[in-house]
Amino acid sequence: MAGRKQDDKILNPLKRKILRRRFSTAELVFGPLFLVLLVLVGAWIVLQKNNYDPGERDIAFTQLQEDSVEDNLYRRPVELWIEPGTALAGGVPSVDLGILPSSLVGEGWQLDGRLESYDASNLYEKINGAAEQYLAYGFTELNYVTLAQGDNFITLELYDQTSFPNVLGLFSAQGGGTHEVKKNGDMFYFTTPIGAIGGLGNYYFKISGNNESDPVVEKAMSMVQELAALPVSGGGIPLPYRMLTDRLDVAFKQISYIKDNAFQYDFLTEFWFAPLGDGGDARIFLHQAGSADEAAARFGSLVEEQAYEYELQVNEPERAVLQHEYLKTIFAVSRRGDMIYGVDGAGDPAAAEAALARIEEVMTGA
Amino acid sequence: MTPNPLQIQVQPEGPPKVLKKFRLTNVRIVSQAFFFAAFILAVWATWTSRLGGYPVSRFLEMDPLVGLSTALATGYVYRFLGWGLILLGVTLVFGRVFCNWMCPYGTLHQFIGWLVNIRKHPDRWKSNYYKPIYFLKYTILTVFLIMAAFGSLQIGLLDPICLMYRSLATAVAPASDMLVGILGNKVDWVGIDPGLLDPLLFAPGSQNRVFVGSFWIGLFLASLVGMNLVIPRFFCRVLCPLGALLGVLSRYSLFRINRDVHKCTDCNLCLTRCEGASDPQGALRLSECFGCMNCIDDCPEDALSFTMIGQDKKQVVPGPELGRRRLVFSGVAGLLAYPFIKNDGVNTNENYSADLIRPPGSVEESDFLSKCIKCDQCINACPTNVLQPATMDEAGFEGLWTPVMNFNIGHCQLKCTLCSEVCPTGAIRKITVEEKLGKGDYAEIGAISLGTAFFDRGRCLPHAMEIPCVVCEEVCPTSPKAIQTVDVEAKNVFGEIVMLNKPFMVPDLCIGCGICQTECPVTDSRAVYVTPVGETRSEERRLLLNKRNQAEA
Amino acid sequence: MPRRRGDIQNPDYVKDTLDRRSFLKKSAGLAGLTGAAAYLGLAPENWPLSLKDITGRRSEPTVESFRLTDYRVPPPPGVKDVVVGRGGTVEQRLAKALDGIGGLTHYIKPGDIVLVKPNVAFDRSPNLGATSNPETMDRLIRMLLVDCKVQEVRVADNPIESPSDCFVKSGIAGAVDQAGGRIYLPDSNAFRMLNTPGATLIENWWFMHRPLTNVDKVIGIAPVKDHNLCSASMGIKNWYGLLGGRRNQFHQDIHEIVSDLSIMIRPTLTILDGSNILMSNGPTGGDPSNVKKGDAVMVATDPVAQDAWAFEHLLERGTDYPEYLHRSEEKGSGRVDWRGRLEELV
Repeated sequence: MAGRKQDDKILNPLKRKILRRRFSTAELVFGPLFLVLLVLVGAWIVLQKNNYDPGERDIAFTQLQEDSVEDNLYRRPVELWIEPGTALAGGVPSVDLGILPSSLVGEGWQLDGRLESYDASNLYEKINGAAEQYLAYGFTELNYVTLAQGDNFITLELYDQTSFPNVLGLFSAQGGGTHEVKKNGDMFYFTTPIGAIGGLGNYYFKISGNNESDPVVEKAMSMVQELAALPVSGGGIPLPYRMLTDRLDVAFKQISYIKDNAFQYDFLTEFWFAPLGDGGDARIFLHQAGSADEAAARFGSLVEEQAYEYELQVNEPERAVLQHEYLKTIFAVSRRGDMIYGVDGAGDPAAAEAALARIEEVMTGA
Repeated sequence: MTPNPLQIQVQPEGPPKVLKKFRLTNVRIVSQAFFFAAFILAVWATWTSRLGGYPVSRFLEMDPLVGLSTALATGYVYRFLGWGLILLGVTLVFGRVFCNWMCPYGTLHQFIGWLVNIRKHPDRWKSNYYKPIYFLKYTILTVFLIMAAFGSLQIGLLDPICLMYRSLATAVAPASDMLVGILGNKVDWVGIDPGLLDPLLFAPGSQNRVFVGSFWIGLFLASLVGMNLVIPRFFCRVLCPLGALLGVLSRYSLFRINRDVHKCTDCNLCLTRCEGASDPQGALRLSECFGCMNCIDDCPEDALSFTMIGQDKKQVVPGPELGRRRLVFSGVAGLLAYPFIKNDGVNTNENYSADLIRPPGSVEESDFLSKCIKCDQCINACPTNVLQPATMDEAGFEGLWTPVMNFNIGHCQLKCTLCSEVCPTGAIRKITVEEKLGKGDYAEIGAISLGTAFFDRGRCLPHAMEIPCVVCEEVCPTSPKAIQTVDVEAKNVFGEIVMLNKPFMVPDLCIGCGICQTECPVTDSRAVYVTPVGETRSEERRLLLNKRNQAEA
Repeated sequence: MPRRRGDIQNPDYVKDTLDRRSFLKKSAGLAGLTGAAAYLGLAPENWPLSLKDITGRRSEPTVESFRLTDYRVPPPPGVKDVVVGRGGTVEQRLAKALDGIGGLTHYIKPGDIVLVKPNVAFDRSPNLGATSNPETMDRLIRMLLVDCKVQEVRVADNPIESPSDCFVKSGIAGAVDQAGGRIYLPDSNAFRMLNTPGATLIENWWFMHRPLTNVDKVIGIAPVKDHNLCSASMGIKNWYGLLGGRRNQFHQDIHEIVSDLSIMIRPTLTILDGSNILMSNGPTGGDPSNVKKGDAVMVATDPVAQDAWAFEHLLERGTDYPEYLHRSEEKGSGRVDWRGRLEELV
């Protein structure tokens, strides 16, 4: 726009103008030389650049290994919440061990963490893939504690499997029968180098330490003793089992239990077996029905079904003796009250009668 | 006539046009552009992913005022500070040409001054007359040098290289990155790949760097640049202590502008573009002349030349206009300024700020203050933004704009020693990662500790509010961790049982890196914070009598 | 003397009367401007172009959010959900595990853009187990580029410590550069609001969005680390590294956030590198004594089962899995029980 004032100009309006007319040789020699110098300086700067190497500002791993320091800090154990007012008079805080005997804690053994409980819905959180097996044997609850004494740890897993047969089944399924089973009252168990595994009534337990040192093993054994006093539920120990072990002195290993389909009959459940003890294949069996009437009905059905393959020799309301058509072995069965008992595969009727008599003798003594 | 290469030869016809392009003023502009670009390159390259061998500190190390004043303050010349001799040599031969051929700050002022200059003749040349106020820079130099001799280094406040570096690093570069970031974000939302706008140009891999008090640094820069509207090259003519130092020396230079009085018609056109206000139309003021060579171009009579010639008192004013009276007064000012600044009482070993945390490798505080030139190059190099220019709160006026660590903003990166590598004066001694972490040869001495972390248990979530947290423990980089926890189960106020990992400090292991403070979620006043007590650089500011873990070994 | 009108006659004075035409033009212009201003300022909020703000909340910044797509690919029939490669070098273990899960080419198609997410949270040497193994990274990127012929391999993380330093000193930057990948550092505008339906803590949260633009497949590659608060940092916790914002608050509910992460992103594959296992002082480590050498590289389409197995067998912490794994299972990200769904290739 024409007529713009000087103040309206924003930037320098003047063009660069050279008024001089002469240029010296020295100046014109100096100019290019100086530019060459600048290029050299520029090249020097570029040459100074080296590729960034992280190792430059790092410590070699070998150096770190050399100077590695041992972490020797003392770390205080976790302080667990204790409900106010639950402290014992002696100043020892009572710990909530639920159904477990509180005497587990003491003599230097402390609870590490707190009692953990799991039911069928969350058992997998604790033992994941193995949970299916426990659930198949009537699992209802797991109580889990860890005891610690210094660097020694012992964990106790106590599974409630509802009933004793379940426990026995689980015990066999996990290979317990292959060990040398010990007995302690109603408890049966076998020991491992770091603990013990066994059952008691409706409970199945596993005790395992983190090493084989004496304190751990001693503690594990004393835990077994303390667990023996655990009150059981779920029907307690079945009478047939008790008779076999306590009265007939059958070894634990030799007792077997058929839950369903005894003798392949779907109406026969919960039968207990043991060898007759004559060196042959003959075995005695015991069953306790829910009532005398039930027992009578089952007895009748059993005799009736067996008669298809056996020749009936004695047929009384509470006693039957049958002989196999081809094998000629004796099958004798008897009923008293709600109990059904007998012998299968005896060589001759006399042996069968003797066995029945022994069972009856034990039973009356009960 | 035998041509003498050092003697200016006047050619009656003049050379071919192409060669005219190589005249001094053109070469000067190339030189200025080159050094300006080199300076920007140095600022740009001072970043963790780029710092691979570039001599980024060379500008600062070549500054003879840095070398001289730190030598006065400490008695020694650190690492590369001898490079200042090059500049002294150049000045003794050609005069104060640094100011108009190399100095990036001078270039900035000249360029801005030229760009906004709308004066007409004769205002144009009148603005380039020498003014009495131009003596001020010599006073400033005297005051600074006397203070330095006592051990308080303040040249960095006005030394042009330090000043420009500080301004670029803490005000311009982050501002540029911020604008680029905003622009890139807008472009990104539209759906276009932002390309170069995506990574920040100066600090890629960081999120918007901020610098405490950068407003004042930026304002200082803007004011000085703006003063070019009033007095062309105000800073260079009036304030610059480096220019003053070179001006004092330039009286001995071999070359100078020579005016052929027989040709001169006293037209004053030589003043039109005189940068230094050195009166080329009369008795040349040697100490003011920047050697810009503009006057030679502007003389229609060819009366002016740059030549090796003596310093006849009738033709030139060789020294600065600093009479004995002014010299004595500025000396007294410097003498008084030292105790006033030093005795401020905010940075003694008994009373020092809890925020005064120096970067790793820093020497003991009083030594630090006699070495730090406040160039803030360390601050620019810092990858986490933890290094900040100090305000008066942390270090008083004496330590203004010196580097301090602000752990609210960042943490000290464990295996990073960049600040110590770039420091030109040794205020932050060059250290290796081994030395910083106390490994290898330094295993006996142990790691460098910047301070000690403390917990404010009244604000800490697990301690005060029964809320799980312990970010501090997670990020603690030492092994074993200097932050340990007491694990406590508690029933909280809502009746739920919660596990609280309550953190506490193991001061023996703490290296004061501050990452616990940076990551603490209680953001306003952190529940864990680092203070400088226990820093290894100072015996006086020690905390522990013995490190307990070392006592065992 | 009193001055009267017309006393002083200025010769330059010209009477400039306003004619009708210009009067109308001016009036119309004024009325138009006033009317427009009145409309903008007074029209109800829902009218177009209205600037009216009755509640004072119209000016509140609105943050647009985006959603991630599901990056999963159905595995070929018959392969297990988790495959562990053992023996040999790290590269061999990786190759074995990838073969076992159906081959990388089954999951990645030529021309894909693939994001590989390593754990580069800290500035530690590769052997210290705090960050992903650069050798595995190198191998994986080469396989992606050469075998799968992908268009681009991106590598991104938002480390806790300085990003440039972490990438360089963990060796990841070098490995990625050599193998031909591209690193995305978290710059100021790399983050956007991510909407994750079903997440409790991060339903809307800042997320490192830039590297995920136009990405077709996502592969996580993580080390196995100790972690004080949540017990272990493995494949799922690795995704924490894509969060932005004030993420340090999440420690107040660590198990919830980690399980949220498992639904935030559905990666194509998750690789767990059990070559340098950080057994203690995690997740930062720093001392060789914290590290245990392992010989397992895991590849999984079920990150939950993968983490569970690694917790049990690499960190050797038994079956008391971190709670976040169970919560992840509840949120439908996978199943903790790895039995029967895992294959070990020696």
